[in-house]
Amino acid sequence: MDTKVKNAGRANAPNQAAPFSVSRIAVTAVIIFGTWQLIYHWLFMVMIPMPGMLASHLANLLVASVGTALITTYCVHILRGLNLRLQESDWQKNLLTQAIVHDLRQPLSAMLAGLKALREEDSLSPEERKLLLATAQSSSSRLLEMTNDLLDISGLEEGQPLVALRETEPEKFIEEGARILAPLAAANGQALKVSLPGRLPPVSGDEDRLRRVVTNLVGNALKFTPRGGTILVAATHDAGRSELRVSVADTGPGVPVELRPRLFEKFARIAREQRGGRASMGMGLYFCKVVVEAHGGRIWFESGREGGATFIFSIPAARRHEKPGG
Amino acid sequence: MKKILIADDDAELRATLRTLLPKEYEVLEASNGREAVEAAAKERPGLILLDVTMPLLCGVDALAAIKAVDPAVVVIMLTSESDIETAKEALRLGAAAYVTKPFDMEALMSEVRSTMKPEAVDRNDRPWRMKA
Repeated sequence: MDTKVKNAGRANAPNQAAPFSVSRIAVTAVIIFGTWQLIYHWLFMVMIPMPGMLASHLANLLVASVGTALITTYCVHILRGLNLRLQESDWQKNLLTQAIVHDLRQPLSAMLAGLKALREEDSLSPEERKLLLATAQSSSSRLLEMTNDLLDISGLEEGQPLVALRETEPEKFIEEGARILAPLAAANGQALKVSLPGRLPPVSGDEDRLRRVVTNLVGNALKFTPRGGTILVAATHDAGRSELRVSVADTGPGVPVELRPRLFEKFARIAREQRGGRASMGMGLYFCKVVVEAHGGRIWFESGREGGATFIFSIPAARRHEKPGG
Repeated sequence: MKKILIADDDAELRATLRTLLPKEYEVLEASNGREAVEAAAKERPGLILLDVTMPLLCGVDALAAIKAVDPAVVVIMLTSESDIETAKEALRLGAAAYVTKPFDMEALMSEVRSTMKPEAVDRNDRPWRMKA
């Protein structure tokens, strides 16, 4: 991609902020004070044994002035760093807002165009009307899911507990999460497969949110898998760790090394833009991370040398209550 | 039959456009930038509706690759972003128009019809413009 275009959104980004911490200020203050004391004692005990009161005061004033200047310079440096940090935060918020608006507009295009045609075009056949209604419904569902993801991220970040925790069979949310996107995979000419072993342990979790995690991972795989590629959703039970592992593997280009550390970040859209194209706002993977971690689990990915990426999440299996006296 | 290629990763939008585009054209689809470039080279459509924000290869890169293969093809960029730098870059690369989503379907259809008219011989000799 042309560098100018690719980096257009980054053009107004502030420079890297200087590191800042209370401990750093304390250490620096101690160093400055200690240095001052050393110079003071060196001057009056070694160099000027009995210089008289005037010389003593002048020397004291000189050292104090140098110390004050050093402290002032350092404070200015810290304030500049803080200012840069605030600018960086402001820039990231703007970026997030742009990203959200972009993705919310996307399904609106199909909805509005379809609904307008349904109202105004008399020449449409019954089949065409049915198709337009179906696409408008599908787009509005997608819009609702995106809105719910954003609300959930906000709530979970603030530490709100998951509200619908209950023992659930993993097969249900895995199959449902993948099945929702089966028509899209078919339309894209991709093979979407689900492979589950005979029996998986139940988990204690929010079924709807876990389904949306699977949907997000499959949707991500569909985006980056070319026509003719395969997306495989699989699950295993790690008995040793007593956890359920769900994986979504694709045959796309894989994740470039330089982008890997940022993939689950809130503002990963920039990174994804550099993945050879531009994709949606990048909140999907962050949503997955937040939900999985709220279940006490973890999420990661593996990228093959020859391409292809596998996103995996694990959550603890539900604890069975032991029978008393057993 | 003249061909129109819709390149957009939004399957619903592709389906909607396919339904509403005039029936006299053969409509092709691509769900990412790479597919768009391949389809443009293979099928030689007269018009391409090209989304800017696509996986694997973004619309601007796809536009450059398509124009390298077929300089005469008319490309209308579709985007959810109103990023002026991207718009300028797309127009510099030879896009005929840059339409912001959600777009006015009538205006888009009018553009499609005028583009695909038999008398539109020099399809690149069109004023560059942005449409919202």
